[in-house]
Amino acid sequence: MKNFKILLIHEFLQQVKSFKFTLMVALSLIVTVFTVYVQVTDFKERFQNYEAETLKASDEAMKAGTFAELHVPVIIPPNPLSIFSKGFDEKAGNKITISVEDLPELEIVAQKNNPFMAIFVNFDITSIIKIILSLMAIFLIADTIAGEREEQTLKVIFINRVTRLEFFMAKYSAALVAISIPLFIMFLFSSLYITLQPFIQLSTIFWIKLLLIFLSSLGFLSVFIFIGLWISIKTPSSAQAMIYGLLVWMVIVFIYPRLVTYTVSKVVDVPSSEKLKTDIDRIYNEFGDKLVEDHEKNYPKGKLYFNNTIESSKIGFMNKDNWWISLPYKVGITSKFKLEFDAGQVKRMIPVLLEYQNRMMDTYNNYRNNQLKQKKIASWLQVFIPGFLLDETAKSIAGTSYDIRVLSLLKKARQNRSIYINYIKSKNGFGPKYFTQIPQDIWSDNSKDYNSVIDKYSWDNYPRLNLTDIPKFQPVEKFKVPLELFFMLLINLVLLLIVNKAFISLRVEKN
Amino acid sequence: MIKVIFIKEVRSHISSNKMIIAYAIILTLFIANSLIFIKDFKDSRIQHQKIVTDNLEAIKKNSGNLWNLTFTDQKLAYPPSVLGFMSEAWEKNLPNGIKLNFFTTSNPEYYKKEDSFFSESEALDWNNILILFVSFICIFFSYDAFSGEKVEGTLKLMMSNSVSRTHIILGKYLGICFVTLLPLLAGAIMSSIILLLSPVIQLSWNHFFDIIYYLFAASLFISLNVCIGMLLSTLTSRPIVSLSFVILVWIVFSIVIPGIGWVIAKKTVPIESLNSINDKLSIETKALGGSFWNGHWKTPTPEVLANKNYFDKVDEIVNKTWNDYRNSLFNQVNSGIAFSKISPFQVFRFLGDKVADNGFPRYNNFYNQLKNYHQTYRDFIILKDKGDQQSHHLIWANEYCTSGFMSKKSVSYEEVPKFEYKIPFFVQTINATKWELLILLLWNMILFTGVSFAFIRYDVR
Repeated sequence: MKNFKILLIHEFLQQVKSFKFTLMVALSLIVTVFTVYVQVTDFKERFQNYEAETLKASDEAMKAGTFAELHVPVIIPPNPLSIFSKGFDEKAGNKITISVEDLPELEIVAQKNNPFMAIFVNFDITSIIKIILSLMAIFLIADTIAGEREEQTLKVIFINRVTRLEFFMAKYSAALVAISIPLFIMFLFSSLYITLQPFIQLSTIFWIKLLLIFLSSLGFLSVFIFIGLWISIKTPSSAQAMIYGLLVWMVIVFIYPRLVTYTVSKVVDVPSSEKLKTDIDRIYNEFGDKLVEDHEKNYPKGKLYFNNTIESSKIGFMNKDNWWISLPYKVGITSKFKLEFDAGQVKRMIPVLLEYQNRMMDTYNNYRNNQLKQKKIASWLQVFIPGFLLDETAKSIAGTSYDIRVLSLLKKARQNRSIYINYIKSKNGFGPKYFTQIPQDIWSDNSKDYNSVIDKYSWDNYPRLNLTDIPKFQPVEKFKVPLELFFMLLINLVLLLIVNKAFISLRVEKN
Repeated sequence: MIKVIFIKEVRSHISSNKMIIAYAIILTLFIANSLIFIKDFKDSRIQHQKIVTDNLEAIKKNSGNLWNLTFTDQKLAYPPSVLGFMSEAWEKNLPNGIKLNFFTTSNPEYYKKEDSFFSESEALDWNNILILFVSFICIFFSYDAFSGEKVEGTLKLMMSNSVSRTHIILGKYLGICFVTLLPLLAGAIMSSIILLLSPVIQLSWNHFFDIIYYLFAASLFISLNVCIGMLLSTLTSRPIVSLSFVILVWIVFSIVIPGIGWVIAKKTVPIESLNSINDKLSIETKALGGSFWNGHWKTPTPEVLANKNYFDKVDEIVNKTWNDYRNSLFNQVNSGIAFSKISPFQVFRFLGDKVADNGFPRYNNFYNQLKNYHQTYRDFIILKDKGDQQSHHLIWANEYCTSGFMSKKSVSYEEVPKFEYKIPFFVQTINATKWELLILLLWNMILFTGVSFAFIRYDVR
């Protein structure tokens, strides 16, 4: 391999001195500067909204007067790596409310407000690599061997003691090194710009993940260099090689992936969101029937009492006499009879509610698993498409993939909800404390007996729960090496063998 | 002589492998687009019909009592566009409806199913096939029109005959345009046949005129791309250099400028967040003071009038704030679109969206029609209320209190104005797209003039 170094330097210098290299580097840098600016501006907006929302959320959690009122809103911060790979970071929703009444589902709050802006292209760094640097790779390499054969220099080279493998590896490595220059500058500029933003806090793990995305991108570009080399070997002239290279690029980058996702999204049927809504409503109403049945069974007909409901539950149903039957939520000064009835209702119905909620959560999970059918089919149809592999790898590393940002997060939210439920249980929260703080020893049917404490349990002065030992929400810290990265390496290996074999059997004379 | 050059140009391209591959890809895309569109359109139409039926049922149910009808929310959505196969226009990502009652209209709402995992996948509609693929093909055929022949020495040979340079330009230009227009026409005809054979899609004459008009604009777009390739070919001496520049131009026009449009939109028209608007509204309505208590009044006492006055003021503030908000949403997008039109690719894209009457232009039309409908609906309720002698003719946005002061008589369901989205006529479409068409024509003229001047001074040796 003694000629390898000389060839490598020669090839590398030839590449970087070429006009097309300068042009493409300039183009990729312009697009990067602009994309990073756009993404950071967008991130800043999301971050400011996140901060405002978090402030509101912490207030909301601490003001609870009863355990029914205890709502812990979890606001998911925007992920700085979404600047590199957006994935589901923005569109998946950023708030989960943990409470007895709510299901732990993602909802979208405090995000960008204009839905019509979807008509504009909004790139991340991975998209630039996928579109512009892949084009650059093909462009740099597609005419390299065909060109040398045309100019008869290939024959001259092999007259010397240069092995084909040496020459082939030098061509490949030089192109890879040349293409890694704009890639490196892109990453350097982006990370510097991000570091300079005072509102973005970066951890060590951020830099490790960034390095991994960089290496995956290099693997992705290597595939295109192999494809370019292969086309260059197989075509008789440099002009033809260039045209075929660009055609193949167009098919691999734009046409095939779009055709697959578009067709799969239209052809593979998944259960509709309407069906999900109907299923959830059905289970919810079944619980309603149980609640109304319980009320009919246990509430003495026509019994009157004085009532002071401070806040009402959102879980309520109409009975056949058009009375609104709901679980108690936050109750002030009220008849002893009502307090006792409510305590009994909570004791009987909360376990039933939790059971029905589990069914609803399972329905959501089934819906998502069915929806994943589309993703799975499209993934298998694109498993050899480098752009798809880069996208999936970058999303997995950045933590913005559907698996991490949606499925794992919701799984974690369910686990956290169980922790909160146990916490409430440990505080006897599923007894009277669920809906009131009036001590049982002063419960009375006579409103006069409450005179001394009437102000204490009023809307303005209702005491807050002591929540100092409330468990903290455990965020998702999941990272596994994505399977797509192995596919990328495999494709590189297969292409190395194919292209090398094609090169060994290459005729060096001009046709 | 033009004819000879034209035939030579057509022959040299049409027999090449790259042409066969390109034709095959384009035709496959057109066929796939039509088949998928038929299925998609059928689903969307069923869904829209359900929304319409539900809404009409709500009107019917509440038309028995004018008071109920006044406070009934109507869910209104526009139907899917029959010409959606030409331009999907990000339709599935955009809102398609609005909620409306006597007093107010909601912000844009989504009344569509969100079942696809790939909600953001780009459609393979005619617009995208042309902008992403056909434009690329045009570039392939034109980038070496002169520089390629110069390198091979054939240009010198050609010029040694008594051929005028204008004839060479015209012959080449027409030849390349012809070979790139062929797959477009073939694809459009095949698509139209598939769509006509489908019982789901009913194309009217208006639609056919729209399709022909779109194809005319597409020809201008193709010609523009050919001109770009030829111009860069005359400005450079080697094909590889012209190819580099042509690709640069393609990326800038199809990717960079639309992206900058997003930034320009964000920067020129900032949108207030919903939280901040809600906070502001809460402060403004609090500042109005009291008179917001409820009572089951029977006669228009000063208390009642104060209550009405208060609610009217709140209504005015709320409606104005949300109207301004909605206008700012539209203005933001429009400012981005205006900037994006620097790129002729985007000019063609937006022209396609308007001709197909889909996406943002459709929502704009819908919103404008809806504003007129809202006024008609309000006038109808006021008129019916005036016709009731027992009514005090006091209507304000407090359902509980208004109960005793406005008519509760029934109105005929047939009489209640119903919203129906009116598809723009062909003339209206031309009117709406005249500037885009003019810009495309201008681009063509400027570029062709550029090619002519550059080639006259071109050193053929």
